[in-house]
Amino acid sequence: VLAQAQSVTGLVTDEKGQALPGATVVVKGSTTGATTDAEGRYRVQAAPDATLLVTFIGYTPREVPVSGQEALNVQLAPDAKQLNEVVVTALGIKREQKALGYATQTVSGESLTNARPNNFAQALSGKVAGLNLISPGSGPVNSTRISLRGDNSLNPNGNNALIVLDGVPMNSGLNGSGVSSAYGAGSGNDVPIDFGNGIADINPDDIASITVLKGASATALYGSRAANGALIITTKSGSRQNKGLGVTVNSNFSVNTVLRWPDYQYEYGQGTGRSFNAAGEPYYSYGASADGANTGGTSSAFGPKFNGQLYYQYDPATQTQSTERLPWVPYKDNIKGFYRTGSTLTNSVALEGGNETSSIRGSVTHSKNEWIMPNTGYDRLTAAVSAQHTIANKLKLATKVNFTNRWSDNLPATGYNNQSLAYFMIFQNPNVPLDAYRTIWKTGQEQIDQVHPFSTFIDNPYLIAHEMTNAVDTRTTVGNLSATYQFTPTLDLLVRSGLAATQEEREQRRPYSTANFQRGYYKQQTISQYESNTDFLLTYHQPKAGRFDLRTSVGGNVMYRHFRGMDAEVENLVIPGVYKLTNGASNPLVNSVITNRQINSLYALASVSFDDKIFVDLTGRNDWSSTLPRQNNSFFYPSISSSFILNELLPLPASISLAKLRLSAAQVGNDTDPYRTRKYYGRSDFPGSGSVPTTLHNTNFKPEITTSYEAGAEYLMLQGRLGADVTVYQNVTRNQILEVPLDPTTGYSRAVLNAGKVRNRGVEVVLHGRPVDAENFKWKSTVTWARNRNRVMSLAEGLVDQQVIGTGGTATLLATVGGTTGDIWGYGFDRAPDGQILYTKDGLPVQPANIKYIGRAFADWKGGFLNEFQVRNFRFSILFDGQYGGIIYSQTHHKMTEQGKLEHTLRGREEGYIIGDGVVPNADGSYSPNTKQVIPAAYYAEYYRRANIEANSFDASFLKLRETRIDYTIPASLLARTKALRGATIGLYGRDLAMWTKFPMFDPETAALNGSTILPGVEMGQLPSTRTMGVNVTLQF
Amino acid sequence: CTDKLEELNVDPNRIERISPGTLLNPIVYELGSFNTSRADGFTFDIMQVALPFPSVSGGVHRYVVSESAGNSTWTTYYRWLANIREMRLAAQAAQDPNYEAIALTLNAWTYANLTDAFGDVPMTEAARAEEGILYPTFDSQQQIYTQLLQDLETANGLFNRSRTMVYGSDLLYANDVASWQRFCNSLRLRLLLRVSKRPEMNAPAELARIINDPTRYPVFTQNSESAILKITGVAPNVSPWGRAIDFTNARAAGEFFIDNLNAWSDPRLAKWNTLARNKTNTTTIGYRGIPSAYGGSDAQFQYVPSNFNIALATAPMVAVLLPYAEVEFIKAECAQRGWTTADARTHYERGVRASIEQWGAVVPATYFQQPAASYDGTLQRILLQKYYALFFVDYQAWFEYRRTGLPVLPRGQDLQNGGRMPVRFKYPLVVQTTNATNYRSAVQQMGGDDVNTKVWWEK
Repeated sequence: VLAQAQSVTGLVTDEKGQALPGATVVVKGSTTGATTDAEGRYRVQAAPDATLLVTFIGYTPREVPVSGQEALNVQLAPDAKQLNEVVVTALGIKREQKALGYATQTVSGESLTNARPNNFAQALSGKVAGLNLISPGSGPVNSTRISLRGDNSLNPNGNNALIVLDGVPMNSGLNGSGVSSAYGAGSGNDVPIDFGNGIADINPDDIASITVLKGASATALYGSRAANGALIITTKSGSRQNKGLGVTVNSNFSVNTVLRWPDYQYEYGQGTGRSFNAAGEPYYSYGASADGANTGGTSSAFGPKFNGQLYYQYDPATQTQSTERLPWVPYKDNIKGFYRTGSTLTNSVALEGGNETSSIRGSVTHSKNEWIMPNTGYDRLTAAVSAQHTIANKLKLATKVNFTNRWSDNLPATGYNNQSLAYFMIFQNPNVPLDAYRTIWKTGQEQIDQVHPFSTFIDNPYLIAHEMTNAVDTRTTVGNLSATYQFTPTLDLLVRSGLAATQEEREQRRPYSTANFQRGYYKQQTISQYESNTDFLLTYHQPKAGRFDLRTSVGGNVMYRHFRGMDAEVENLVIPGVYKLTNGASNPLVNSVITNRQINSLYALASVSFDDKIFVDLTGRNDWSSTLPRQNNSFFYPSISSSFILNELLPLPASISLAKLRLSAAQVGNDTDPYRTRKYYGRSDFPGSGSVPTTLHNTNFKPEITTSYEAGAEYLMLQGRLGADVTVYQNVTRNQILEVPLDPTTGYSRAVLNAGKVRNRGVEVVLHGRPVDAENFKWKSTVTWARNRNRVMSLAEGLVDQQVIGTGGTATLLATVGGTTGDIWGYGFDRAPDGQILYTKDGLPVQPANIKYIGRAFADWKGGFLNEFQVRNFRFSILFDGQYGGIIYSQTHHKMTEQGKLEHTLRGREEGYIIGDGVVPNADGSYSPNTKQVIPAAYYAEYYRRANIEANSFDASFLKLRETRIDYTIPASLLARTKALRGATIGLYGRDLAMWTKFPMFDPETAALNGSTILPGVEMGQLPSTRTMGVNVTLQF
Repeated sequence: CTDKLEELNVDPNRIERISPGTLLNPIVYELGSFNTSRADGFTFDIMQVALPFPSVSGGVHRYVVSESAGNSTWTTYYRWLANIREMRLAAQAAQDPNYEAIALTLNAWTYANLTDAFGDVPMTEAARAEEGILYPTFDSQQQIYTQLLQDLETANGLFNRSRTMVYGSDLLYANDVASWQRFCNSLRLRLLLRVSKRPEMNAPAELARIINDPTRYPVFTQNSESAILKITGVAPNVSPWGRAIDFTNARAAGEFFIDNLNAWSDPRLAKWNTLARNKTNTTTIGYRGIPSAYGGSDAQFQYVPSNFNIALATAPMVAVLLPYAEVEFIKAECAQRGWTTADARTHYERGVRASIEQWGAVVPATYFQQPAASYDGTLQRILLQKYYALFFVDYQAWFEYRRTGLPVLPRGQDLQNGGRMPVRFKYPLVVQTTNATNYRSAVQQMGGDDVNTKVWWEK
């Protein structure tokens, strides 16, 4: 006999008694159910002997017998097991960890601010297996390219992971300063400046968590741009849990010093090594003197040894040759002394509050950075608001807005060219005191003629710092507004619109008498860009019918992106030192770039679970992209992922808390840049002019397709005390839309084609354990490790057998079939069959005719090791991370060696000659040892010549003491006496305190900043990297 | 929806259509500027005008010409040849004969340099990727010269002085059609002389026909008509040297170059070169160079040698495409060889005078009274002065040396390449990788891809 159904109502709360809106209440064994409203209330029809199943994501489900009651309140407890952690996945959908069929890793906001870097992205280093950061080391902003699981694209800019801030995709690309090559010496061009990209403006204090979705399967729902994985950043929201007002004040102060210097030599001074006085001895003379001809013009340091002997030298006081001979001594602080201790002061205030229907959080953060180079640094002001309100029973509104203003009077230039300080550091000679440059302008020649007494190649470093300024003012707004309407307990609709908009103004000033701009230069750049995303998502959640649970959604998205860049420059200034476009000797040259693109998408997803033991997700998406040819602009891609809870499906020992298997397969389509389907003439600076494009357009290319497979296992034992997560994956990207080189005789140097297939395979391991887990002492340890193998499977078939990925000076990243996208090619040494270096009869290495493979920019593996301890109110953490393998070519090493500035160039100087280690070919085909003596200057210049990539490349392996921190939280009992203070924590931290590497220059974590491209494996005028030490105070009221 | 997406993918900034004049100024500037930098980067070294100093070993002045030496020439010329081709098509479409004739002239100017530098090169099928030709076949040098000379005849007939050039103001001649026509015919003289060794080209008679019919074939008759691009320094018309000091850095004037000028007390010296100084750099010691391909140490030169005058590379400056003086020297050679009945001495002296005045100097009254500077009836004398007239004119001095073996250059102690002057550039590597089949048949046709493989007109 069926019992008469009765109405049951009640309140679902969490462990603290707070209402849980959105919890599911189902009558077990039926399809009847409801979802709790904003106050956490529900109403269902159930028989008196029925059982209610109450579930809410992140909480342990509860079964409650009705037992004839009409009011039934249910309290849920959070799911203690790690496997039930809630993960924010694509489109902001919250999922239980155990239901996910693909690899994710979550980084808490706290761990981003533990040892805060300027750019929050750097705080991810060593914490996420498979995540790779590349930054040029270009100053305080230090733009960072984030990639996951290797480089899929042959286009070096096509490998960025998607950054999603509160559901709004961000532009993580760089907007170059107008210079496309980090090697610019002699070009007459300006240098690249790292003005920062959008992600540099995200305030780490506002981040609640970052979920890293590593593979394409996780991100099929974001469409093409998530083909390289995604970082889903969720900012903090007001909490319902603090009724009334909560105030958090955080102050942070840190200082930066240079982490490491190359081994400069201070034993020999300026000279070519080829100038001798009447007595046949090396000598020095600034300008011609009684001692001999001028030797003070060279940039090399192969001159006389420092013995305190007396020479005519430069006298800063008179700005000419000294009247007396002065002692010949080194100035060991003449590079290092230029730098200062940098500092960053960050203050933030956050207010939050909430009640049953609303919550709000607002924060304001100000950072002031003074970088280690004088007169550089920036200010950043961030204001963020997050609010949600349940308007009516069924309608909820939520909004988040982040506004950032970042401004700077001067950011350092980078790269190898006269305007960068890196160039000065290379060219500075050991006998030249910084005082020689302390006065920037020649007497009476203010703003007209700079003091650079040794060579016109060397711009005065104080002039670089104080006159050649690069100012920027960026205003970024990222915000969204979403509305959720609950039609029925099983059907809801989310409508959301998000906008990420940036307005940026830049200004570059170059005074008179500088190497590249004899009569000055001034440039203004204005960038305005926005991306809007409007989504709808209709979700039907069939309450658990028996053992099956089904959730299906259909959604749509319209993405529109607009970019407008306008720059104007004048090359000769009429009045020196006046930086206005109206002060140009001629009309300003104006360049305008406008791009628009749109992608319309429809997608569907279904999540099915069986008995909470097997989970299967299916997705499908169709995109229509404006950038593809009309006939190919629609493309569909599916994904499937599955999760099996083996310990519940199979009889496994009880010590195993979780054994989960994940399998997934996904495809992601990708479009390309706008305007490649038609022929456009290139712009010309001559009025009314243009030029034939150099890239052949294509009216028929197809979307790129990335196909990825992933298998993973998660394993927890001893109640989660020990755990492992291992993932293997393979990604193949084919039909890459590339610019392939053509023989210039065709009239074009490149053609847009579908060409090339790249495979990435790899393993990611995360191990974590809690060796000690006592009340007063907790120790948690995490190891991350990842290796990726990249392979170029094919290139434009029949057309080319190699594809240039990018160039840095004379080093070329060249993809060949069977090679990788990070292969560095260049000239090396010619060698005899036994491997010895071949020398010419002149005693110098033979210059080979052809370039060859030198090494790989990519590491063999990367890993991190984090330990966290808690002893009573003290918390201590220490993180090491590093990489093994990979090489880096160093332009700075080449140039400083050629000029005799490094310690290793001391060899042979005492003797006055070097005999290169190698062999000379004989006429009969045999080889004899090289016995020819050459002067050291000639040997170092030739052996380490710029084009010799082999001689100037180094193992890029490193280990860094990345983060360390100690925190003390004042006990609540003490705080209670203050009546106002709810929490107080003081922390001391260090970042990049130590580094172990064989790389001889500043830091192997570098890359060439080619305008808007960060090219790995090449050091091109690196600035020093820093060590940071700081103190942090957090107060909660 | 799809229509809207397609509309959105139209660039709001860049143009899709051009006028006959749209491409002209970039072509003239870019090629003029590039040729000037190549005169500096290659011709000066191989022709002993200057040399890197110090220069321990190797270098073009020692006849070490790397396999990539021609890369920029190949890439740059073909890029702008594609522009010239489109300019011609646009002029034809607009039925504007003057722009079409200018395009034909610039085409001949550039292709002639290209084939002189490499030998056989793609021309008929070049710059036609839009028609699907991704692997252009090579034309023989003979085919190329035959076509170019015919094009110049066509161009000369197309020029219409009564019709104004309406599409913008041209950088070289400010829309003076007559000047363009003189450039066209002067260029034709250059090309005919270049192939004058090949009997099948009938060049001597053609040269005489043109020289003797100035009404139908006007050529340069004074410096103001020369094809010389004035680089003003007003952007974008700026010096090819981004950093002017690179022009003089680590460099010395060639001894051969300086010594002749010294022997003539030539006023061009002060325009072109700086004074040498004593070892202690305290006093000037007149003009003195360094021998090209010198052997031994740098310390053997007990003085600071003459260098270039940096003003040559600092705007306002000039890029010389085809100077009037060259025309006079062509006429002098034709007369000397007996192809025309003109007076070789007159043309020789006009050529020298034109060159000196072109560089802003005044010819001393006694200049031609000097035995070393006066015309002595020999081709050597004509080509020695022509060598100076071709100062800074792309590769012309090298081409002329290959044609005539003149001027007689001293042989440095440390010449490489078996002491043989390289006579062409190797094809760039990109040709081998992207157009391999046609590359191989061209190499077979030429008899090798080597710096010592002689081109057709030199054989």
